[in-house]
Amino acid sequence: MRVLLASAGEELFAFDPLQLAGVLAWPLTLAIPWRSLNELAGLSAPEPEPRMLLARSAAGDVPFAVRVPGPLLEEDVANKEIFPLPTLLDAPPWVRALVPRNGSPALLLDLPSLGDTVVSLPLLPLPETMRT
Amino acid sequence: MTTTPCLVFRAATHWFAIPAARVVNISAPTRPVRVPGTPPFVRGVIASAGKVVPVITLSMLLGESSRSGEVARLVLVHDAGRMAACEVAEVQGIEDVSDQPGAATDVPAAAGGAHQVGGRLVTRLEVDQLMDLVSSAVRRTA
Repeated sequence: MRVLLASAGEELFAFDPLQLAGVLAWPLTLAIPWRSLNELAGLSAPEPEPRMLLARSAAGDVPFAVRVPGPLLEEDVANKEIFPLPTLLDAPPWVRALVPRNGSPALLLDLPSLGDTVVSLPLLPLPETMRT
Repeated sequence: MTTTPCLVFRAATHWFAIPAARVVNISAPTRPVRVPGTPPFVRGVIASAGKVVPVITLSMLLGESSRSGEVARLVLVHDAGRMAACEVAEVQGIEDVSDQPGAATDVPAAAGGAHQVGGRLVTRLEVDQLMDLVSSAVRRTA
């Protein structure tokens, strides 16, 4: 499986490119629901090269965007190297699995499920509007 | 009086005992991967023996308000298919701990009570109750 990797400080997140509709530069200019991955994951990592991942939510097929810190890397991962999280943790549905990556592990996130969370939150104004 | 061999260890300021039969291994700590949306006592997850295992700050799960920061070992325990790695500060070793109820304690998951082991007051934890405690605590947070 090919994955898209985004680091957020010490944390590393992986995404399935097949769940992506596209990658845009920041700032976002489309009037769609969006949030930063930092906010969703409870992080305060620097965002040196922010990118917007575009996808559709699982429940309503609603377009949304997630701002990830960047830079983005692509990498092939064997399916047997993707481990689902234990049910004991009751992790959010958008946290899909752990990818150990030889000691540099990443959390594989499920973009459509993440979209369900994003579209359920109050709509944010476009970034340009926020700056004024 | 019957006894059970238990692994005796310290987490933060308290000494605990867990039946040795429930211990999978003891390893050097590795940095866990944080999982969003989980409570503070869940430090994250690690991959161990082909499975993903939550890393638990035992002292916080059992009632302390903050993490001590002192982590020398991870003790991996299992019960009925559930596994967790507990952060511990010091491992004393295997000691026989009485199966009779010990002194009453307010520590959750400690139905076995507190016992004198090697001159220390040690709280015996039962792993099934510990896993139930983890499960109910993460559901309260979710």
